[in-house]
Amino acid sequence: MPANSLRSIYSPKPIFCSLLQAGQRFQGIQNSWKLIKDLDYWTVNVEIQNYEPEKGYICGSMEAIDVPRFDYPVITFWEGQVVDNIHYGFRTGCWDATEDDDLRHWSKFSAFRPFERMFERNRAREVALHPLEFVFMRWKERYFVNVSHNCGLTIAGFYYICMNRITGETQGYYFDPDSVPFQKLQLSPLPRFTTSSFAFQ
Amino acid sequence: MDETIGTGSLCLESEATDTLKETVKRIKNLCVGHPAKKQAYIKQGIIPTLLKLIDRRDSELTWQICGTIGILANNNVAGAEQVASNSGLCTLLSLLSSDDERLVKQASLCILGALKSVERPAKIFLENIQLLESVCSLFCNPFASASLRECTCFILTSCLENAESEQIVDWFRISNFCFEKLKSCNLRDPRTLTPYLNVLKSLTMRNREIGKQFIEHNFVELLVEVMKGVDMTLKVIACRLYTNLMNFSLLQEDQASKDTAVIIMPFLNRMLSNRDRNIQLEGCKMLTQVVAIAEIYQQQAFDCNLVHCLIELGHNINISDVEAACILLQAVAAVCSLVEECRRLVIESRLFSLVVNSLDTSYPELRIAGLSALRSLSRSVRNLRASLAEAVLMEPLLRSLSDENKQVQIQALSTVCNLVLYFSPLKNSFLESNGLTTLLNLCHSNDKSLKYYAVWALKNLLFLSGSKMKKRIIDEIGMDYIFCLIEKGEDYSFQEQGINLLRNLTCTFSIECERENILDFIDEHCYRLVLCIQDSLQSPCMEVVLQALYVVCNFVVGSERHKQAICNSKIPKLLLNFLTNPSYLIRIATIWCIINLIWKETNDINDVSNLADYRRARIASFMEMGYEEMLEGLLADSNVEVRGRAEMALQLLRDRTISDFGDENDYEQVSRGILL
Repeated sequence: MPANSLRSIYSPKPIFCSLLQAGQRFQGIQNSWKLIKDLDYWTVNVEIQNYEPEKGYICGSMEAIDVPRFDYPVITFWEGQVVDNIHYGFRTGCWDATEDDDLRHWSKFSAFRPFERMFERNRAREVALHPLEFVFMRWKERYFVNVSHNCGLTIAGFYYICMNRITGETQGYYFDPDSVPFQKLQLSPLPRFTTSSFAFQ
Repeated sequence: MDETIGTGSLCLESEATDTLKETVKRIKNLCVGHPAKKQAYIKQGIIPTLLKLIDRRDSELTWQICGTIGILANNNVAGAEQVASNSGLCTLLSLLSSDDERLVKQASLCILGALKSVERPAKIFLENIQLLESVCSLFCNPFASASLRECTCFILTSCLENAESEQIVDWFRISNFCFEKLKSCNLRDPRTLTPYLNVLKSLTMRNREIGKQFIEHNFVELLVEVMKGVDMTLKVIACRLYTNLMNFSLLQEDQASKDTAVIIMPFLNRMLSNRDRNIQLEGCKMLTQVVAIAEIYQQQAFDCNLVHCLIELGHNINISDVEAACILLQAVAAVCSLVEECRRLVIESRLFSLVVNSLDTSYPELRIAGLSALRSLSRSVRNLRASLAEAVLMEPLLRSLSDENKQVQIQALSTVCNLVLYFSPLKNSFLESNGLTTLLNLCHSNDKSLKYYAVWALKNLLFLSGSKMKKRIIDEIGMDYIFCLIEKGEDYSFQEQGINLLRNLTCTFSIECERENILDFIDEHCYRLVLCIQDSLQSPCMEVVLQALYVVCNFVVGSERHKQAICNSKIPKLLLNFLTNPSYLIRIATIWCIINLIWKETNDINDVSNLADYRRARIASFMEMGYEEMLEGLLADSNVEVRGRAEMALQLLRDRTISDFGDENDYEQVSRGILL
């Protein structure tokens, strides 16, 4: 559905996706190109721990296995913003990301193409995103769960994320001005759909 | 015994009016500023004696007596109790209909002083309807003086704080009178509005109809003007009244939100920052009421620095000041219930120590308030994982689960619901401290509330739990218990919790890991489980239906036997109907059930062979039932996920091109590849 056709028809609504429910798990890899053309990559397991579509809030854990120089998995806790144009738009506005950084990273996803021009004209916020096949998010790691913060790894940056709501295939690009640019995250949901639930009292 | 007291009492037996007047006056003068003398007189029973001497034919004497009784009863519980006894109040109230304004004023002050000094002023009137009715009539006297109005207003508002008062008097007579007076009040002197707004504030606490009439009389603007004024007492009353109207959703949301942000929140900031303890605490109570209405007000409270104000208050309130600590903790519980930034500020401040320390006091009301605050703070994955993990919470919490006070138990259970979640390090502490045994006992409680929260906690405990934990719980509580929750649910809320328990029990992420442990407890109860799901899918409660669909999704994964059990029941027919359900959540969950039923498994829990044959037969059956047509219809669904999943299900249903011996990964790639 073309982006500009979404402008006047719908008002934005929270984005529901069955693959973003608490307990859903994803597996994949993260890779980064070092300056000397070597490709580092490691296995990543992501678990969604809470998703509140009415707030555009998501959080979970990320387990990185076979990280270079580490003998054991490194687990972080992350919190995310769901780009729903109600609570969060495509412009980050924090975490040291400029609008140019936003455009450069979002443009890496083909699903973002219909919004590029609108973003440049500062009109991407006018679009209802809930009917789309893709969910855009930003994931920001907040702290290390099982290692100390001076372990040599950094979580200063955040991921620009694009997830296909149907297949669950997820791509992400890590942004941190002080790290190798465009480290790529690729995730797939577990083969079978099973679901557990909780509710805060 | 003090001679003067003895002499005074003797003189009160005189029949000479002048002597009586002099004596009464002297007693009053002796008591002013002399609490010991006052106490001595009261102990000797001077108040009933004075009350007997009241004679409406002699206004001067009666006036003196009222003044003296007022001094004796003011700030003295024993004296006030004697005045506020049945006959004493009747006598004094009868004076309020006198033509002598001076006497009416004195009697009003006397009654007011006494009632403000007793513990439960409303009790007297709630137990004597005639007395209350006479107060109502006095209040509604159009010619009543200011002091009479103030006195009767105090009585009425005290009674209205009590929920029992609702049914015993026709309050519409009072509200109508107040509306008439508001229309004719002199707005240049807003203080004239005080008694009417005060009574209306109390009336609208529980009475929506009166609130509605307030709006129909177009008084909201007046209220907003008063809130912007300078009179503190009146502002507090007006804010409370406004909040009552918000509580009943009688105001337009946009306007209420704006008025709260611009007027009420800044006013509350000033109240909380005031040096007067009573004003601070009143501010806390009002804040609690406002932010409980909706999340936006909690956000406004954060934006207006009210959380910082609460933290500052916490520095000055000692836990030994039970009343203040309770009110503060209740405000914390309310303001932190939905907004993460508020929680973060409290947890990072010294106020958090007050929360933790309150769990261990000997005052049940303080434990309740502390537990309520802790529950609000724990409604956050981030806090559970990190900040709360450090605190020494588990011991006092477990003690509270066995508290003799039921409200303490309920609050403790509600908090445990959050603390036993999978990502909370406190879950381990809970289990290691034998908390599970206590929890399972509470699941069998005869008290409905306790049982409900215990089941909720159990559900949360089972969220993403491994098979060992599941097996342990089933061994201890039995599948029968869970089935009974669902089959004979006292109401839908219990059924919903029960079916959620089943959902969490049947959720598996790795067939290999679950193989041994799931087999026993699910297979043994397979037939009953399927019947239970079938009945739940026919529930009129959509939430129960949705959870039952998720149970089907989980139940059939990796097990041909389970798939067949489902397909041999009425469930496939029910699923077909759900494909056209108005709720997209139901449609999506249904399609997932279909996908999982026709998924090509290569592993089976029971090592069933010929999986391909069974699958083909199942697909043929689904085709015959009309699944293909129904799913095709969903390709034009208004919801993007419904469309996408329907396409996926159709591809699985129709797929003839992949060899039955193909690799599962290839199969997955094709399934996903369709929609990329």
